[in-house]
Amino acid sequence: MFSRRSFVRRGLALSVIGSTFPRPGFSASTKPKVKSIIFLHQFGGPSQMDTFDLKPNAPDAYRGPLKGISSVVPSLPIGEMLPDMAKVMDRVTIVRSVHHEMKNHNSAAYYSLTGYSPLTDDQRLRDTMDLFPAYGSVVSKFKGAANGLPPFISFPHVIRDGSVTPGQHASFMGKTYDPFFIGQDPNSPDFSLPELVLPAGLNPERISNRKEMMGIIDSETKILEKSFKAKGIQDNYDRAHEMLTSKSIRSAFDISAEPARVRERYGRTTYGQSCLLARRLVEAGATFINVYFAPFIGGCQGGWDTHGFQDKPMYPIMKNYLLPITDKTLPTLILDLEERGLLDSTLIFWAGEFGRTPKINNLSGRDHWPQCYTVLFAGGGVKKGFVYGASDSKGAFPSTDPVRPEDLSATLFHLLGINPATEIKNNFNRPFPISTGRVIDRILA
Amino acid sequence: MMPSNFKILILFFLVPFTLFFYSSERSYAFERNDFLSDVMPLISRAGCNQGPCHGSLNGRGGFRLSLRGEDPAFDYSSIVKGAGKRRVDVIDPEESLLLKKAIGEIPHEGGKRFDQNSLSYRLIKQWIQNGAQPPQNYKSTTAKIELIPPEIFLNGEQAKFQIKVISTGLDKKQIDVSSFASFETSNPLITMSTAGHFGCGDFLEGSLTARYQDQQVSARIIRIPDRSPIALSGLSKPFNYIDEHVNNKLQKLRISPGEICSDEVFLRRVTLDLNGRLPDAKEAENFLSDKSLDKRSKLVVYLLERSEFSDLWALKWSDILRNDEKVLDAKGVRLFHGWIKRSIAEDKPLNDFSREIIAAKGSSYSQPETNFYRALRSPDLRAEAVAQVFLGLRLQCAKCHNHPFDQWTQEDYHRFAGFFARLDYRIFENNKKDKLDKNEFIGEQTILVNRSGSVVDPKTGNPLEPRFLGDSKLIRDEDGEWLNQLSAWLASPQNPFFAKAQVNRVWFHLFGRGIVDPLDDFRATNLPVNKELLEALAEDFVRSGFSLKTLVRTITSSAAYQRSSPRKESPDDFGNFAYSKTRPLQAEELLDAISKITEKKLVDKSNPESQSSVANPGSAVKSNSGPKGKDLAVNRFLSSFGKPVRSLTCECERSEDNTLGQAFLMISGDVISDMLSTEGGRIERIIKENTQPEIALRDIFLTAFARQPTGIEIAKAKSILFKSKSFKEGWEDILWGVVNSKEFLLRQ
Repeated sequence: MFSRRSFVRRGLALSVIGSTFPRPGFSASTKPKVKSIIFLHQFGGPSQMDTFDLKPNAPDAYRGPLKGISSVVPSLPIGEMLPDMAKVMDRVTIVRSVHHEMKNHNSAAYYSLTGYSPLTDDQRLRDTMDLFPAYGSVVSKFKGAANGLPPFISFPHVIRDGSVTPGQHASFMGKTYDPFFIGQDPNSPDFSLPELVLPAGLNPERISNRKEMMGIIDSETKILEKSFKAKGIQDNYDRAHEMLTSKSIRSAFDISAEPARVRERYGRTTYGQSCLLARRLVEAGATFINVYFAPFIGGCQGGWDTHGFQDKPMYPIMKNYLLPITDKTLPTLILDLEERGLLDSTLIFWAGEFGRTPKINNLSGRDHWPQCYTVLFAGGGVKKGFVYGASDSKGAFPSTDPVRPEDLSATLFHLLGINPATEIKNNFNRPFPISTGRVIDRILA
Repeated sequence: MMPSNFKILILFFLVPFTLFFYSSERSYAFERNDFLSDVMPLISRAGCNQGPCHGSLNGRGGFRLSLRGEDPAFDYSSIVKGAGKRRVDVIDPEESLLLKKAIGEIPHEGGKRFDQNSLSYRLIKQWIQNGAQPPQNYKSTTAKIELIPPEIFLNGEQAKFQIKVISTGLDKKQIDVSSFASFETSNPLITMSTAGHFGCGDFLEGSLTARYQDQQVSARIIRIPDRSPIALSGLSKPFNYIDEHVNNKLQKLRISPGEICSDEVFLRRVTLDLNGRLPDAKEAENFLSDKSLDKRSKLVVYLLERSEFSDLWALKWSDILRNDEKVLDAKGVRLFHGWIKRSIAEDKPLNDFSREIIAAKGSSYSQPETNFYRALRSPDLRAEAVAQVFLGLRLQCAKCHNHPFDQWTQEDYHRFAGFFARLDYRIFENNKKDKLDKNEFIGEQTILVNRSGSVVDPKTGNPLEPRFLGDSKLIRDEDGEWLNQLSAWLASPQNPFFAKAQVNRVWFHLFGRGIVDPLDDFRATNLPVNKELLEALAEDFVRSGFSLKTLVRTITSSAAYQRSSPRKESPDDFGNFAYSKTRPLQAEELLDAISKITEKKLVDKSNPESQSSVANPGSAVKSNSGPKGKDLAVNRFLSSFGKPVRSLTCECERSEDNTLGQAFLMISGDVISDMLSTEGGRIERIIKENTQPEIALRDIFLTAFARQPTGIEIAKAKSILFKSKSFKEGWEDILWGVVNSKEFLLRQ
């Protein structure tokens, strides 16, 4: 163990001293409202007008072909293609006034994944180590692991628009806080984690031979007693071996153990089964989970980027693919968590990187629109059947209670019991709060 | 050398005597009652304008101040004119929000900042009462501040000390401003009771920074621990001047250093540090059996002349010069890497090496050093990179506001960036695959200098003539050659930053920690752990003609470099180089080391550069014809173990973190499985040649650890071999154990 003195010596920060100080800082933690957060990231940018912010009275050029339907919350009609979602709107909070300035997917998605605005609005914003960490990495640092599971797990895609979208890992916080990433398709019949599968021909005896050989060399050199670094490496080996052998952890990832009925209920799609996997991991005690809707922005199997380009008109894709998947999956996840008594301790956060143009373009699609869009919360810590903020008559700009992505990040951290003013330092040792936004108090339950 | 106890005695007598000269200015302050000299310093001192508080970019609670008071004009208007003028109430000063919030009379998120009977309260109240007058102008009245005493030694039991802040005004008048200065410390165990009076807990070394107006100064505080002095005989005899300086410091702090390490540890350490590889079994055998006294220095000379020395140091320079395929094309990367490697092999003086990079012009193919400017495409980025890589200065903070922890002002930053204002590039062709990617580049470019162009002052929009850092002279652009002037200044033996920054970088690579740490962050508030050592190394480096090889030889010949690792680690010991620091092999070294143990080549055999990942020029290992999946796996391995993508000019981009992901890669990853269990390599050779297990093990251990296996290790290996289903499986498991042992993964 470090002595108190050595601990102090290791700190790089200058602390301020004066007559009545402690530093005007803020404590790292408050009382958590939820144990787990599932971030369902909707890459591409969903259309707010066709999902949760309908504008039935807007002019023709704005309205689009889809109509609204009423939901269980009388004041809260939603898109007609989301009939199952309509039945659970009494369990969600939607925020209709989110806005920012980034018009390109990579810059906007980075903003949506970190709560920090990039310096440039760049279609190929490069994933560099001076950018901010994913929410889950921050959570890993300030909350740590539970039940032997990695605290931050992400799957099933690395999202990219021409180049890898920044914001999916720990960046300058250090690799220790990177997500445990699963790049496999949970919908595939042979889904398994390569990490948790031993290479062919390796049986438990051979594993133990290997560990014995390693152990004998380590003990001959007494290196584990002498060096923190060596101890740290060994701790990770122990954790990895534990995950390899622990029944509960292996079974958390073993989606095939789920009854066929449940698997069907989520939909036999990569996204549907990913949401099911997220529920299994929440059950096993995971803290922060990123589920990426799609690896690419658009196309027939991509995300929500529905411009109408390349003879791929928007509304058929919405009707046949994007909205049905959403209506199959999101309400199922909410209800399944509720049935298992996990909805109060789990927060689902559904958000993309921006919304879409209120006016239909000349390809019968909608383009990028960060000026105003909608995100959704469901579960612990937030109100039920509640709407926060509003857009103007065309869904073009926030008309009340504007919210920025950093306010969303502040709210997420707060709900997990982490003070948004908690500081992290970048590679130039400059301090930053983990979120520069304000907690949206009025959506808190 | 004066015994340190005696020095303390002198300090004790000197301090009160010196302090006597400066009368307190507290009473004077009430008379003067000036915004700049009294009010703002007290507001800073209360912490109001710190980054997390009202000094933040958006202020807090609607009240914004400039960060640490760098813009008093802004602060004046914010305090006096903001918030509907409720912050100061000249009719009824006690009703001023500024005061009511600060004493906690009304709710304040930042808490209570001072008492109602404090100097701060009374003085600010008086200033408000007098009409909250602005200063005559907003220029600082202070020429410099000093700390008396400038360095503090405390003995073990001493829990208190006093320090004075003396300001010298532009009018040359000296005043004691201890009651007005703000203090910060590197160590939370140092606490201030009243102005300039400090208490301290149990710590070894720290520093204290005082600021007043636009000036700041730091003092090192060394607490001599309450343990018996170490006998001089306990310190190993100095091998060279490095040890004299290191030992002096150790003696002061009463730290007993480690012993000189064994030949085995030295061989593996120095071969990794100088060549980025493990020694061969043959090299190990020869070295260990060599009985000559100078065998360590002979080994160093041998390693310095191997091509792996230039491979390894070209890798380090390629990292910070951003030699990356994404922004430079593959050909540019190869040529730039070749240029760096040749420079290192021929021991080109490091100042010439740097001068050539900074003055580079011409084609990115025929003048490969121009690639540095291709990776960095704006005057700001170029200025930041040159300052950080060559001068050890992180100017980034000063781009938007005066550097909060150093002397650099925003003007310094932009005038330095001015040197690069006319640098431009012309594109001959760009065959990039992704038209939308502004980073990507495939083709040839020319770096050239335009006839006109300047960096502009971000506040006024006026063009700025450039100025060297720490100098007041403006530089005229004679014959369009600003960069020649800059490179000459930088490479001159008189340059105040260059030599120190470079020796510190080399020291960092050999010790795992700079004398200034982080290694590229020299600043007024980040003092070197051993100033005399740093200066002696820098002088010697200049005298040697900026020779990297001489410097490496000098450092590796010191006892400090040859110490063993501690029996029990303490960070203080590493900070003062009492022991060798155990640290992980770099990603490329680890991959090459596994490849050496298994005798399997990773990547394409037709591309000799790709045979060793240390020697690979770019930021990703690429084979010309190998299967793509294999490249991906190898690159994933390297990046997991910390290989940087070279998007920053900072050593900090290379990670030494150990992670769960790495453990999985080593337990069940495809690279390790491939290396252990496919056809060919060491295991097949052992089986085919029917090598005795003892002999095979001896070879493996000599290569992996530069030592013989112990009896226990041999017995364990043999038992695994005989209980395994086949020799092949047995050897696979033994080799797995070897490459996963911590002795293998770490350099001691």
